[in-house]
Amino acid sequence: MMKRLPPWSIHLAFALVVGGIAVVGWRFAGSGGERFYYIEPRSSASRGPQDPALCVLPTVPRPPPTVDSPFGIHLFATTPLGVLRPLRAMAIVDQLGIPEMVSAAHSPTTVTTDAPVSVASSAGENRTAVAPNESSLDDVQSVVMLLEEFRRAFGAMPTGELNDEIVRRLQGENPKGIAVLPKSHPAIREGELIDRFGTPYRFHPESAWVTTVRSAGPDKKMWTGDDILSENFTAELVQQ
Amino acid sequence: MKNRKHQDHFESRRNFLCKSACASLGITSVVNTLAHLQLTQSVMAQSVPTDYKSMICLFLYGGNDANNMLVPLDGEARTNYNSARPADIGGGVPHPIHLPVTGTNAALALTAPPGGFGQTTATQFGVHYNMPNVRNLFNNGDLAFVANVGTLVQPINRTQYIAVPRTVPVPPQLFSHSDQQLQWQSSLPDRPFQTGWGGRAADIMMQAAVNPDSKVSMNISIAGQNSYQVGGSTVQYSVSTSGVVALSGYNNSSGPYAAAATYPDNFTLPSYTATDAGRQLRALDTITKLARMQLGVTDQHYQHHLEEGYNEIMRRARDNESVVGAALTPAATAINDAFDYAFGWAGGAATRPTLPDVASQLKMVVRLMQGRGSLGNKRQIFFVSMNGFDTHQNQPTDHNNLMGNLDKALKGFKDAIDAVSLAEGSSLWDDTLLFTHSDFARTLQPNGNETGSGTDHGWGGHQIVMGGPVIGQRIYGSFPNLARADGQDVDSNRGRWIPTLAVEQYASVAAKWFMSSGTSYLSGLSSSSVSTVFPNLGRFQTVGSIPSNLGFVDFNV
Repeated sequence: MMKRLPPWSIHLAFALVVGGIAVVGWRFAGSGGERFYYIEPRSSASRGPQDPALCVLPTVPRPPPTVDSPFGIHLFATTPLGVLRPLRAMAIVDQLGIPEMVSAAHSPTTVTTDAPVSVASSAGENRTAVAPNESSLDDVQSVVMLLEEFRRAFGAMPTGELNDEIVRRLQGENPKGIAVLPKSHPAIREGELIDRFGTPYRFHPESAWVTTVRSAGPDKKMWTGDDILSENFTAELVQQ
Repeated sequence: MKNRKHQDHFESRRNFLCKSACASLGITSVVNTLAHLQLTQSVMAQSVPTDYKSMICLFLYGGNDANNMLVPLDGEARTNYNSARPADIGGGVPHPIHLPVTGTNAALALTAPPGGFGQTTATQFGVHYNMPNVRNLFNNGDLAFVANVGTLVQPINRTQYIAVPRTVPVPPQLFSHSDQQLQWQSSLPDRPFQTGWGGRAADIMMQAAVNPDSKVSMNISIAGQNSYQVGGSTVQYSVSTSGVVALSGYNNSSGPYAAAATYPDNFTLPSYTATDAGRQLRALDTITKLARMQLGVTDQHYQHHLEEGYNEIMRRARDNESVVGAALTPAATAINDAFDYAFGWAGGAATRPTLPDVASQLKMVVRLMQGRGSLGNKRQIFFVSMNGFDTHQNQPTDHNNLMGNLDKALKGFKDAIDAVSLAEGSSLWDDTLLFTHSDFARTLQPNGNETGSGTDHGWGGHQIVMGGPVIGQRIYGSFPNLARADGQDVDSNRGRWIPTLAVEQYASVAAKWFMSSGTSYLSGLSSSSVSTVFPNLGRFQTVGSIPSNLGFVDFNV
């Protein structure tokens, strides 16, 4: 008669099988995370950490890359929900209209943007960027999108109201060190984010989720009829 | 057989657990019952307050530019004021928001109390030139200012604010409207919103059976739903500036539903009149099962708890309409006249002015205070508000109008209460405490030099306290030196003051007055009750005391 195996040996065998399945699953799952991101070809020095997708087992967020300021600024922040998508933020920034475009075209409405243009990035490298916005209205919308990117990563709109204050928050001067705006950009002058006419934007924090943006428009004077407000977008879309 | 060996032990253990659990449950219920009996007895033994007190929160939505309401007239603060809002922006033209010491549109100087204002940054102060009534109320001792109050998590100074990294926490989302409004009304900036401080005060006082004859909520809002009056158990009741909003078709001059039914008292079935309106209301009540609820027949008639809850809300609303309607029945002629006079009415057959909304709200507060006998509350909290203070543009025009309307509304409020007191032979003004809240103050440095310019979001600001118990003709707190990029300014040069007094400190003085009779807490209340209403107060001061520069209430009045 065959000798019966002790109960502990059956338990041990079961644990080994389950553990083996978990290890194999871990290996396979971990290799597929990065395909959810579009990785733009760029130098390895400017590439941030790329965490696996959220569908895999949770991992401890990777440490941020080398800090470049007392505030721990790093454009490619790692958050508990994953990696902030830097490419989207960079694309938004590159779309912002700058005063040089206006002076070159002599009119804000005649800026030709069909062909991709080269815009100096924050790292000082030349790379092909997306086409800039066609109008100042699109610029305001881009600023709103930038704020939204920050909100998604940080959990709330940047604290503050003054332009230079908001810019500093967007550049990483915040408790989590999340940055969606480079330290230098043609649209940032004297620490303020300016519109394509050279006037600083105005930010109006309504709540932790909503900050409205105002551009002074072509006359460069706030509170006049040609001001461009982000809060008008919804109404205009409805009218269309 | 191996398990059989331990079976008895298992059974005995299970039995032991079952029996001990049952025993503990039994004992617990007995203990609980005894405890509740004891609590009930103690509550019944508490003496009901004999005095009436009314606390009115006036919220200035949008962020009042307190720098344009209370200004220094000399000293270091005046120098810094002139630096940000210059007397000459070129060609001898003053900045549009500049309030001069003398001349056209000069600030109205306040009379200093004996011994002076006690401020180190200036010795003379004035109010906006559109506030002559506020000046008079101040000089007569009915009104005072509390300087530089704002939301705080912990005490913080400029050095700590600009430190990198900052180790002293600040309220989240500073300079944001809705967040700061919420934090002012909750006085808990570092916690997710659950209740307002007015709601918590009402909760704890209702638990102490302060209002045993209450027929309507202790929290009444004339400005719609708000966060300040959100409580755990106390429900805020909204009244419009024209009174209760009842179902149309059943009302007459005697009040809501008076054409269709008579409401003997709360929780009692109304007696419907033998008219079409009465029969219609009876039918409606039958359909909505409201009649059953009013008969006290509840659970067995409802198929679902939601249905029961809905009918409970309907019943409470109907009862409140009836009670508030009765409270508004007394003549309001003297009250109307007081407000109309304050807004320039010449009397007699002259055309009466159109009152701004804040005046209409305060008028309704006075009418409800006049009818306080019908409401049955010994302690009543009101909430009123004023909009339009977000003056990023056109401040010279807009804020001047706001200051003027606020000034006249406060004057009308005082005069209307005096008229009620005169008619009653009471001293209702001594039972009244009005205080302001606002999102934040605004930047001392305007955002432009044009007449269309304005000011942007700030932080700490000055507040108004008014009423009979207020020790007026004083500026409490610490008036900032108005230095930009220095002193109390945050990390900019626009003049946004870091508060020297937390909302909790400011509001707790009013709450302590409200929760007391004379110099003693009401029965069932203590300083721990204050901690319940203001859990963060201990971070700034001793909970049971009032700082010497914040004692704006005379508890003996």
